[in-house]
Formats: sequence, structure tokens, C-alpha cells
Amino acid sequence: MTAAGQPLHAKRKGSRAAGIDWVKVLAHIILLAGSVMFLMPFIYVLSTSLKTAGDVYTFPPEFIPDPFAWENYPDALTAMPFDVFFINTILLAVGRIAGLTLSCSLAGFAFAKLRWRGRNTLFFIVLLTLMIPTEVTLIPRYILFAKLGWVGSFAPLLVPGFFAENAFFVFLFRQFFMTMGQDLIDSARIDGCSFVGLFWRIIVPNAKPVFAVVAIYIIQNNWNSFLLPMIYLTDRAKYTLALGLRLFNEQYYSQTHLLMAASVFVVVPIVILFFFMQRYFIQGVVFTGSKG
Amino acid sequence: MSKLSRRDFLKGVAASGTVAGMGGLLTSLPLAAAQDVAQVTYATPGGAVEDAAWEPVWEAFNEENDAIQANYLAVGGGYGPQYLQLLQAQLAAGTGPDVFFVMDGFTVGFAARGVLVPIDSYVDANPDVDLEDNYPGHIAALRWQDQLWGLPRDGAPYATWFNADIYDEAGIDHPHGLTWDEYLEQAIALTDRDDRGRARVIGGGRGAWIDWIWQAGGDVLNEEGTACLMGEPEAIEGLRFAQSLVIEHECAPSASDLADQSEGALFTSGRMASFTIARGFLGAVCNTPFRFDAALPPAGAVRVGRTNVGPTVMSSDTADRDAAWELLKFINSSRGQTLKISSGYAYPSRRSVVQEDWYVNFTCGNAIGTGLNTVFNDIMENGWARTWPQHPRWPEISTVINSELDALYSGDKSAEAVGTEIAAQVNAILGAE
Amino acid sequence: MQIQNVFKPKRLSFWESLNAWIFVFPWILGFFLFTGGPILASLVISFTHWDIVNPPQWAGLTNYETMFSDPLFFQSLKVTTIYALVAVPLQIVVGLFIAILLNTKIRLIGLYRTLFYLPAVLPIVSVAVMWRWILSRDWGLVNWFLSLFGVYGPGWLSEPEWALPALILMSLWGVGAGMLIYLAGLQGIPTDLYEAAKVDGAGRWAQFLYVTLPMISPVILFQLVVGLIAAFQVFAQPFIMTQGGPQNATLFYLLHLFRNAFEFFRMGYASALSWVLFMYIAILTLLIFRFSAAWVFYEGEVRNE
Repeated sequence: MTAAGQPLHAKRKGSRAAGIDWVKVLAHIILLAGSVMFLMPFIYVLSTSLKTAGDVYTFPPEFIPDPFAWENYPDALTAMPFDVFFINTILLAVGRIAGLTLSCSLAGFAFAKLRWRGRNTLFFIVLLTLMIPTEVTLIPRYILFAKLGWVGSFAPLLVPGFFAENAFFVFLFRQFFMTMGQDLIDSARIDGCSFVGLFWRIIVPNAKPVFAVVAIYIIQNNWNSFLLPMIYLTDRAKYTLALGLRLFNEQYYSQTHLLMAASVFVVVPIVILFFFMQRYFIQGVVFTGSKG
Repeated sequence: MSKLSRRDFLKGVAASGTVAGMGGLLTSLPLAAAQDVAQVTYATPGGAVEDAAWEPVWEAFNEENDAIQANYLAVGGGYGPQYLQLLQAQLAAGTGPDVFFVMDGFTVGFAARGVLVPIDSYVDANPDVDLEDNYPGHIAALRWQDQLWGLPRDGAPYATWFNADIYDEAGIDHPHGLTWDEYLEQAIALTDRDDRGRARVIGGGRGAWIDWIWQAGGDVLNEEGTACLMGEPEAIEGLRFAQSLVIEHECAPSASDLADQSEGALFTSGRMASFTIARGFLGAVCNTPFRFDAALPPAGAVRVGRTNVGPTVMSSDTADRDAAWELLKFINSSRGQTLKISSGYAYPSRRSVVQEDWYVNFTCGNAIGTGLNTVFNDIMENGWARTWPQHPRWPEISTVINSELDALYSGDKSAEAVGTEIAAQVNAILGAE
Repeated sequence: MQIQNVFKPKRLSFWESLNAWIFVFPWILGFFLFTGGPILASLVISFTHWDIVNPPQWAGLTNYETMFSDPLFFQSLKVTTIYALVAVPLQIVVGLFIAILLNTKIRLIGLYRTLFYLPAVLPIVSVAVMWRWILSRDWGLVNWFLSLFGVYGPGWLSEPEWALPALILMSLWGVGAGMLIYLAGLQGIPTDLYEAAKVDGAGRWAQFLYVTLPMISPVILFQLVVGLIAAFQVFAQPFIMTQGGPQNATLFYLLHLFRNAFEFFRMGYASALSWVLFMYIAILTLLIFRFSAAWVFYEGEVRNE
């Protein structure tokens, strides 16, 4: 065990001069080895994205393309209006982040920190909605949205987001809020803070990491999910990136090389976003019971 | 990064929420359609390449039909699960496409549920359909209980594609019109495995199981579709031969070979000497660096091949059956198929298109012979092409069979045991009708 | 039951209750508008024969009775249960281990975090071929590694007894997403707790056991419950990698359910299957919550007792 949850940065800087910190070295070794393993899928996608159509099937795969097919990128990106797909994906992501973070965190707050009759029963019902496979609710739900006239628009994907439809996030917020010290809340209440104020001024600022995690999850989901978008967004002008990628997958003529090139284009923005966002949610926002 | 204040956050939430909500509402308004134009939608899995192939078809159709507007609904992803989900969700909500593609093998399942319009009366009333121009095998695949449930958008006869480089290197004659024994002999000679059993070259594909059964003189179901014949000696003979290729002679892909690569990928990557698949595979094989051609599949006790079709069917929910029929007819017509198949990969369902000069002379990549233009026609013209059994429970039956075949090809069970077990399980499904 | 804890109020404040109901009101409204209806519909459908396109026919308990004579129901239940029991704890341990490593302040840590998260955003379809190679009997990376120790590895995806372990192994590449939650959870641990532990002479391992683990236990509970629910609903991996084979060794519950619903047109039976799954997961979740009191530590809870 290198670092038992204890942030190594708690160590004083001066210790570095004393010699090599073997724990850090070990951490580096493990992380490096792990990185190689976890990077492999991406390297594979990257390398396939630069192969010619005929080289894609070579087995075992060769990681260095020969020849390099740089034209796959322009070919893939002009094969479909990826700019439109990109904007649609962003619009959906922004809308869902707005709706879900707000409604789910409020519900999570009520389940975690307020005292009221029916709380636990209701919370369990929230959890239960996670346990029914979408396969069997898919068609009733589709019929519902068809009756509402929403099929073909973003509405079936966006509107439920404002009603905390994602029980997973409600649960996540609840768990995080529950770890917050109660005295923090009690003292705010004694100071005459309203519940809304409590949520807004005490809970939200102290829970930035979990908000960031939820945002990342929503983006990731929005980037990858295709079943529901495919069913509701039948018009190409409303397609998302994940739906666009699927168009390279066909029965006889799967254009794997183009699929991979487009995949790189699709994945890179989210990776960059993650790289910058992780600083934000890792940054030690440490709330303590005694901080007041 | 962390300087995002709560006020900013709130503003962002409010603004984006409003935008998103408005967007949702605006886009949900139905587009006003011209009153006198019937809207007809055709649905298919589609994808980048197929979309482009359809483009000229819709263009021509819309130009020729002032009163009908053809729309195209395609979602990509091949014949994966999502197309079935989309299609059935739409059909359940009564918003299904008017004309659509169903995967071969599912047609009867849709027909039996009353989703499809039998089109016999339309065909009878429209002599210009020229049904006889479609190969009988392609029409047979759409007939069930004496009714016709659709027209083919294309056909898909199966033949044996071979890697001529591998054959020539081994000094073996190209495999035209072999018997089982000759095929086996070639496959053994061509197979090249190292001392650990790792395949550098595999002699030939496993082939579709049903072909071996038919070639041995057996069948899966009786004619009425009420009993399974997989326990009969002919069927077991077919299974035995298929198993011997994999287990005894190791000249067809083993379970572990197929876990690495599909037969198509094994062939296109130059690791398998031959395998049997539809003409549409040309699109993939054209990119390969080796020389190739197509040949007649091997013959057992019986010479028999197989064809699939691309079924085009009409939904019984459609608001305007006459308009839907016009689109369906056009997709099947010589003109429609010529426009669609201009890439030359797919195989038309109609003799007249197959005989057009551009198709007869079509070649691509390192194709060496004329096999790809003659063999498929031979199979269709000589009536060798049979079609998968038509049964409403076919998806279930084939799932049962595939799972048992795992045990056949792993050598865990004998052909007799597999045949008997399949018969028992399939009969149970048929009995439950 | 754990979820009934936190505090045992003697008197509930009307104002607090009202606020709470307002906060959860969006969910309630959403439940009545969008979520609840389809769920209820699937329950009703489970008592019918429904081919999706025609009106359902009342079937009473037939669908539930059918399950007892469906060997594939038991097979899929077995496969999925084994997967859940093995993969979920593995994912939790590996995810936590990586998160703790990634919570250190060393050079390039931002890059490391990004790399470990990367596989979680790559769709399984695009990396399926790579996995086929890694797990290949003859050419695979795993078996090459085993051969260094003189072990001849199996055909991971082609042999019935190894296909499920192979899918479990694959699932570990997705821990990057769960890792985020641990990382967020680790941020919530006050540093003064570590300082105090150090003053008491606790080493790193002791600090992990007595500070980190208890403080992060609510997050572990979350991962356990959510991981379990997700494990019972695995679909894409077996669908793409093995189609449920060989010999139904990877016939996951949802694969069986999907086939019945959309390929065999037996939505009634599929709905019944999903409600049995629902009961199964719900009972497991209840048990987890009931026994979680013993190991899950909520800071708020302690302060109020």
C-alpha cells in the first residue's frame, strides 16, 4: 500500500531534499504500469484510425500502421455533418446537466439532511426505479412520448432531466451529503438560515467534487448512449455524435477505419475536458465538522 | 477553473435550461406538410454507405411521383439489436414506417403478428411488377401460408469465395464445383498450423450449418413446419461432416479461431483459403491485397445452395396503402434495384438486372475470374438456391440450434447427440404453438 | 435498516417537512409523468401475453410459471449472479486502489487520472477487436503473459468455463468511471483526521484502515449498490463479445430478456423476467442496507446520537 488515502502532499516539502521518497517512486511505477494497460484501448483505436481499409483486419493487430492512412480523418469527418452532431450533443449535454444537477441534488439534499415522514420509503422507491431494466419500459415510454407528440425532438431526452429522472444521481448526491457534518448544518439553522439558503450556501460550495463528477457522468453518458437518442431523434439533423458513429457500422461494408478516425475525433474533446475538469474536482475542497 | 461562483452557476443553469427547453418545444412542433402529397417512409438499418446507395432511388421516385413523397429512415449499427427495438417501438405506438426492411428470418414473425399487409392482390393488379423476373428463390423466401408478404429489394445468393494466392502457392486447383470429399481433401492440404496448433492458414470456412444439412439430403423442419427433422440420419450426417472439418481434420476454424476473428475477417486478412457467404461480401473483399474469385459451394449427396433476400414489406398501419405500394413496387423494380446497386456489390433479386451489361462485367479489386459474375447466377438459374425455413418462431429455433452447435464444434457432443437434442428442443417450441 | 437512520427525531418540524417535500417534488412529478407509468405498465404486461404490436392478452400468472420450466432462465440467473458476486467486489477494490493512488500529489498526476479514465469513454464496439486479440488463445497478450510462467492459457472467449472470467476481467477496464466517485469522496476527508492519527502514531496502513475506509464507507456503499444493479443489467459486453455463448456460458439475464422481448416477441414473458429480476435486486439491496449499519459510517449520524 503506497498511500493509504493519506494525501502525500501533506508531507513537508523539505523532505524531498533528504533523499528519494520511495513511496512516490513506487506510486509512479504502479501508475505507469497501470497507465500502459489502461491506455491500450485508446492506442488501439488511434492506430486503427490510421490504417487502410484492407489493413484493419490483420490479426494479431499491428500497432504501427503501414502505410499511414491520414486521409481517414478528412474522409470520416466529411462523410457526415459531424459539426451538426457535435452541436446537438453539446446542447443535450448542457440541458441535461442543468436539469439533472439541480433537481437531483435538491432531492438528494432532502433525503440526506432533512427530517420528514416518508423520507426512507420514498428514497427506496427512488432506488427501485433503477432496478427495472429499460428493455421492458422502453416501449410504454415510447408510446407515452409519441402520444405527447415529442418524438422527433430533444424533449424526451431533455425534459425528464428536469424532474430528477436519474435515480443514480439522486443516490450519489444523498451519499455525499450524508458524509457532511451535521453540526455545520445545525449551526447554520441556528443562525436563521433557510433550508434553501442552507443548500445553496453550505451544501453546494462544500460538494463541488460531486457536482463535477455528476457533470462528467452526464457528459460521458451523453457522448456514448445511443439507444434512447436513436429511438427519439429519427431526424438526422438532430443526431448526436454517438448516433453519427453508428452510421459507419453496416452489415456488409463496415468502414472500421473511418469509424475509428471519427471515434478519435469524438473522444478527444471529452478527454481534454476531463483533463481540465479533474483539477477542479480533485482540488482539496475539504470541509470539516469543525470548520463552521 | 474553480472560480466559478454559485451565481454564475445558477445563471448558467437558468440560461441553458431555458434554451434547452425552448429548443425542445420548438422542435416538437410538427412540420407543416403539403396537403396533397402522401408521405411514405421507408426504414432500414442503413449507414453511411447504404444511405448513399439509396439516395438516387429516392430522387428518382420523388421526381416521378408528384403525389407521393418518399422519406428515408435509417439508424446505422448494422443488423444489431437497436433497429429491431426502434421498429417495434414505432409499430407499437402506431407511428411505424410505411414500408420497411426486416431481417431475413424475421419476416414471418412480423407477418404472423398481423403487422404486414399481404401484397398478392397488389401484385395481381399490377402486371408491371413482373414477379417472374425475380428469381423464384427470392420470392419463395417471402411466401408464407400461401400469401406473399413483401418483395425483395435485393437477393443474396451464397457462394464460396476463395483466396487465389493461397491456392496457387499450395499448387492446388481453384475450387470450382467440388464434391464434399474433394473439398475436404483441399481444405486439409491448404491448412497450415504450427506445432502449437496455431493457424497460419485455415483450409476453409465452417459454412452455414443449414447448407451441410441440405447437402446431406436432410432438412430442419418438415414441410408443414410442425416437426423438426434434425434427429434424422441425413441431418446427422450433415452435422457429422461439419464437425469433422473442425474437430477431426482441424481444417475449418476452431472455436478459438472464431473467438479471435469472424470468418469474414479471417478471410479478408488472408488467414483462410475459402469461405461461403453472400455476393454482398464483395464490398469487403475488394479492399484485400490478394487475388480472389467466387466458386460453386461443394456438393454432398445433393447439390444445393442458398439465397437470402432483403425483404421489403408494407406495414398494416400505413395511412395510404396505395402510396406505400407504389414505393414498395419501385424499390423492387428493375429501375429501383439498378439505381440502388450501382456500386455493384449487392445482388439484384431480378434476372433482368443481373443480365444488364454493367452488372455482368462488374469487377473490382484483385478479382481474377468471372466467377463473381457467373457463379451466383448459376446458383439462382439452376434452382439450387434454397431459402431459410419460414416459421414465425424461427428466431427462437435458430437460437436453440446455435447454442447446441457450440457443443458440436467444440467436440463436447457427438453429431447424433446434438441432432437429437436440437430435435427435442425445437419440437418443444413447435409443440408450444 | 440503514436508510432509516441518521437521526431519530422526536418531533418532525412542519416547516422542514414542507421544504423537503418541495425539494423532492420535481422527482415526484417526474415519476408520475414519465417514469412511473411505464414501470407500472411493465408490471401489468407481465401478467399478459404481449407480442408488442397487438393488444395484450390476459395471461394471469402463466409467464411467472413458465420461468420454472425455462432452463435458460436458471442459466442466465446463475451466470449473472456469479458475475455480480465476483465482478462487483473486484471493481470496488480495484477502483478504490486506483483512486487512492491517484489522490497522491506527485508529478503528472493529472495525466495519470485522465489515462485511467480514458477506457470508460471508449464505446465497447470500437475496442471489441482489441479484446479479442488480448484474450486470444493462440496470439493473446494474457496467454503470452501466462506462458512466461510455463502456463498454457485457455481460449478465454471460446471455452465455456473461461468466457465468464474473461468478461469479468474486461469489466475492470471500466473502473475509471467509478474511480471518479472515490476521488470525490476522498476529497471529503478532513486532513486534520490524518494529522490526529499521525499524532497517535498510526502508520499509512493504519491510517487507511481507521481513517480513510470509515470516512469513505458511504461511497463504498453507493458503489456496492449501484455496481450490483448495473451488474445484473449487463448487456453490451456479452452481446458483442460472445452472443451469450459458448453453450450459454455467458447468457446474461438481460440477453435472455432482450431475446424474448424483441426477437421472440414475448414481451409479456420478458416483463415477468424483469420483475423477477427487480425483486431479486431489491431484496439484495435491502439486505445490503440492513447490514450496512455495521460498516458504513456517516459523520452526521454519530454526531446526533
